[in-house]
Amino acid sequence: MFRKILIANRGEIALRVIYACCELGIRTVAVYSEADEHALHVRFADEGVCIGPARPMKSYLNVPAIITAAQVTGADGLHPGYGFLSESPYLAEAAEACGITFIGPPIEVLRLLGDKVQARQAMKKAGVPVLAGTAHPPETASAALKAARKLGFPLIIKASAGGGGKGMRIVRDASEVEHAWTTAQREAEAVFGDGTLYLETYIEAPRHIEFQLLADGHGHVVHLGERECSIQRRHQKLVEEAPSVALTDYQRRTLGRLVVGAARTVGYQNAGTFEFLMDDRQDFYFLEANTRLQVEHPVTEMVTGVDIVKEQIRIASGEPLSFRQNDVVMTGHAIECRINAESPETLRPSPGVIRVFSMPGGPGIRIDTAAHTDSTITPYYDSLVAKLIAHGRDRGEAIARIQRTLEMTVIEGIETTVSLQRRIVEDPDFIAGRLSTAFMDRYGGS
Amino acid sequence: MGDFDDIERMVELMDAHGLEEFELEQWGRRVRLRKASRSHDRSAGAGELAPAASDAARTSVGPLGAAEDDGLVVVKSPIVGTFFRAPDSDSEPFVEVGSSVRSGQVLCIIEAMKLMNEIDAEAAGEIMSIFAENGQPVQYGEPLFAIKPT
Repeated sequence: MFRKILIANRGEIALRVIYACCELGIRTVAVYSEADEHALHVRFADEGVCIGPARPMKSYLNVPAIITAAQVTGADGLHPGYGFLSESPYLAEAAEACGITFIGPPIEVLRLLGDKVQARQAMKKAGVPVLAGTAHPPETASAALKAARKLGFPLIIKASAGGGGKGMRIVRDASEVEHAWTTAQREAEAVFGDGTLYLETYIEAPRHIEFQLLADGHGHVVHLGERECSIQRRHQKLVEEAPSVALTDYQRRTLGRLVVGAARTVGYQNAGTFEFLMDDRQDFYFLEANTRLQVEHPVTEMVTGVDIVKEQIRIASGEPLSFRQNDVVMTGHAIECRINAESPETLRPSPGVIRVFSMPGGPGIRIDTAAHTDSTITPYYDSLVAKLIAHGRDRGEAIARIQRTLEMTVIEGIETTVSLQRRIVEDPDFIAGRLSTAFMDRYGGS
Repeated sequence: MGDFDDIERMVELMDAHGLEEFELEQWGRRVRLRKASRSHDRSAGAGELAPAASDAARTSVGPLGAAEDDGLVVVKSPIVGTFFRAPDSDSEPFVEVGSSVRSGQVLCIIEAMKLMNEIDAEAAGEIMSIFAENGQPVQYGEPLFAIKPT
């Protein structure tokens, strides 16, 4: 087992990893930028190292600074959290070269699944259904147009290095292809430094369903069921739940088996998520694999009772999984609302000092946050303030619990999405489980 | 109210009343605060980072603050790494307290990921203090030298 883990992240997820380390008796090192000097993850870690100025490129994305911080503090493990460098093969490689264990999948897996074009091909080979699309990325806009005509419309242009909706364009007919291709390429080059794009059939208003995996280094792979994350705005998830009302037990078992098989094929280890789109005929298509802990992992923890972060640490330390697929039982229902420091109407970020922060607890409520009264939401990083997770015996109870918690949440000093989340969880379609990625269109601004 | 808030308030009170030392015993708990003087070395022992760096930064009114007030130029570490005062263990240190330096002159080396990063003087002048110990890990923004510009 590890003696000391450095957490290459900030905010609530850095705290989440600290909780797991505390419970496992592992010492922790926080790294932080100058903007986070007073942050809770710095206060509650055993040690802290300032690694750079506020700008992420110079601090939380600064691989040499992070690795050096691990070396000077004598950390033997490195947990990357989510976002920032969590899917970076470069960080994993640098850590391993310095004798520090990267708590995540093997470097080759990070490389394979981080390249969306390669990941698509690998999944297809493993028997996972993928959407019709270009097997080889077209190099020019005119080649793309030719490929698009062959595939038929609507289509989606995606960046091979992509994620988070960047470098993505939906095209509904041939006249739009060339312009969309050029702008997406420019965006992908700017954001990812790689302008490789590909085309895929676009599904209107699908459900977003994803499977949580755990794989150890001894050949054991299990899935922890699915999460539904259809409520999104600009490809950013707002509300997630587990299980999905759209899946039958049979579908869950079948898809779960498929995902476990695919993970085995690519040599997956540690925690990961395979994302799918489900169309209105209940067909599933592979979207992408996330080779890290997800923001929404708590809903799975609430229904399965598995502590995913502790499992990640145990797996990375070489321990075998302590349970098998048959031991995984889903109990009740869990829903998560992401409370962001954003205007509820425009979703424009609203940084500032939180003057009052009060979220009620009570039965079935879990709040993962690094915010508190008098804490500051800086403009440098993502706008997540808190994750509110409600667990109930069934979906109805989980909804009632999340509704009453949102109603009694008081956050003053900054604008938050609490009022928007209240409208969502009180929406008759949400309550009925009629969800799709087009759900948020009714609130405008998507 | 948490311990940190208490201590922070004490530091504020010390500042307000120009106190160097302050001791409080209350409910079986004793807290003693002493401000770092200019000659006081705020850095921790070699091989260990200053404990809870943020606390040090928050409550420190020591060398850095004083140095900047006196019009000294403080050279801070631009990276996380290990501080070395000499090019290798057999050599003399680049500079000592009292050395005069040219702008751009190498003052120390900070090793990060096996790379030796030379840190230059930001101004010409005299070295007034050296804040870090040879071989000590330093973090981003940590004060290394104070130079009195000429």
